[in-house]
Amino acid sequence: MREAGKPVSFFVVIWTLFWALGNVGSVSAQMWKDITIHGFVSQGYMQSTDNNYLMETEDGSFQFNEIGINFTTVYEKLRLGMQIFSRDLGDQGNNEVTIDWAVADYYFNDYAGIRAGKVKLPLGLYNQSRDVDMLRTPIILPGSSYDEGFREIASACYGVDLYGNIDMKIAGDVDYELFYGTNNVESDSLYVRGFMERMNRGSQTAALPLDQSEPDQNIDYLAGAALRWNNILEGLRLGAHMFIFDAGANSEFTDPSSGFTVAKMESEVEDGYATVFSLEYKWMDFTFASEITHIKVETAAKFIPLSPQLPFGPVSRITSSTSLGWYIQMNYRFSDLVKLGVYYSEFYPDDEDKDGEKLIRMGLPDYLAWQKEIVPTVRFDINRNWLVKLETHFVDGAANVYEFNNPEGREDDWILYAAKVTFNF
Amino acid sequence: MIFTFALPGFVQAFDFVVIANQEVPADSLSKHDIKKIYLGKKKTWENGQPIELVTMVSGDVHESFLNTIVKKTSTQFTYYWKELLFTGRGVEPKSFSNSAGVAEYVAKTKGAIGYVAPDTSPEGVKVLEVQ
Repeated sequence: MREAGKPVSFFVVIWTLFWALGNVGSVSAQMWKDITIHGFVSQGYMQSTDNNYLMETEDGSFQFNEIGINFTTVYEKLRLGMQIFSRDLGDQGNNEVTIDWAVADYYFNDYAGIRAGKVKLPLGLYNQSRDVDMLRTPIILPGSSYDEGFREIASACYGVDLYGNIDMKIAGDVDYELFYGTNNVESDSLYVRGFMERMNRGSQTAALPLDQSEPDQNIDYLAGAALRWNNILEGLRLGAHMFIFDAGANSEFTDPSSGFTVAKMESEVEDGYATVFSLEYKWMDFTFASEITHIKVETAAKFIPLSPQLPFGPVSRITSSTSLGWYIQMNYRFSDLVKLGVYYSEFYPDDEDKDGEKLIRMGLPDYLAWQKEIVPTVRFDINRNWLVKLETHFVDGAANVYEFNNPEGREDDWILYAAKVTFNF
Repeated sequence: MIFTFALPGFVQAFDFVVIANQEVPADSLSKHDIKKIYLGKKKTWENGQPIELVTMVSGDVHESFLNTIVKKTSTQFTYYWKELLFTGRGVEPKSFSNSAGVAEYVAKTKGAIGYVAPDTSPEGVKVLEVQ
């Protein structure tokens, strides 16, 4: 599904430019008039023993990169900035150039400010920085709290973000954010494809020999709040994050023999929200972190036949599931060069079916009900511009492994290897 | 190594001296407030003037200031600001490779605050008492 050369050419040109910059020595932020310019390029590689994870990893794949360049200018209390972003993750992104964030940010005082434009969303401690590899130790954030399938809907929104900081003196300080807006989700995104995969699971309409079109997805609104209490004890940060959304999707069914549209499906998220509770503690060269995430999606879908030849009439179906994910992570910086990290993560797409009994009744393997991972990472900060990471995922279960990437079936126990090199200035 | 910086009326037992532009409406600051300034959480002076913080790129003075006041290592401080920068929530502070560069910039910039080596003789700035 990679489109023709233009996006790839953009990536190659920018990568070459950054590479050249790196070869002339240590590179710092660039200035043009009063505009500060920073950027990064990451190129990764993934290979798995079994299961194609997000892309064709069983054969090994380099379709794993991010590139960003941002421009910022400040005038008194007003800051204007934007980041141009491009990424590839298998079928996702394909190095199309997008706006990652673009904000007009004005603060009134320490307690209150407002950002308008496209803003990154605070759903968990690391959601806003999830596309910037250098800002974390692991290559792949724990899928239990940072599910790639939810990224499209929860990474940013077009809207407003109210923020501020409340000084609690000896009890630390509290950062808050309140946001409201909307977003665009591509019809071939992991979110939509995963959504349709779950909708069709066990439904009578899925058994029909019909072709289903890519759904036309719309998001009516996204809203939420985040509170982060910093330094209750020196180095300790607690977070509570809430996110609600209203979305819908329509698709059509065609008869593959005649090509005629014979039915349509209209689905609407009746109740969609996510909560993330977080803890992070930095002590000397150690960082400990843990988060627990719930995502509830209750969807009402209507299957509307347009042809009398179909074996049943209109069908309404409500599906509801609440996922549960949690992880615990520890990082230790041995030196300026070497940092080690390890996390353990558990993810259950259906909190009420942790052992997969419902799936077995649907004729599916039970190990699609969970994904448990132990993930050690080693990170080398070569200098202030370059870093390299190596990582291994020892995985039990395949809840975050998509069927459309694995039409021949998914395996229970598997290992994923990842490597990534990043340049930033 | 502990230096004593002796300007009239000030005695600071740190490896650095905190300086500010002469128009800044403060003669002393608590460690708590300086930390909040360097984490981008205290953004304005008492008169509403925006604060512009200035840092050094590296070195003993830089490390000592960050460890003593901000409670972060140089690497942690760098990535703290990179996170704000690359997520559209802030812009990295201006940084200079030596005390003279910091002092010169603070002297000419309204609302600026910085830190320099104790043996620097900064001109056109005020030295803030650290409480």
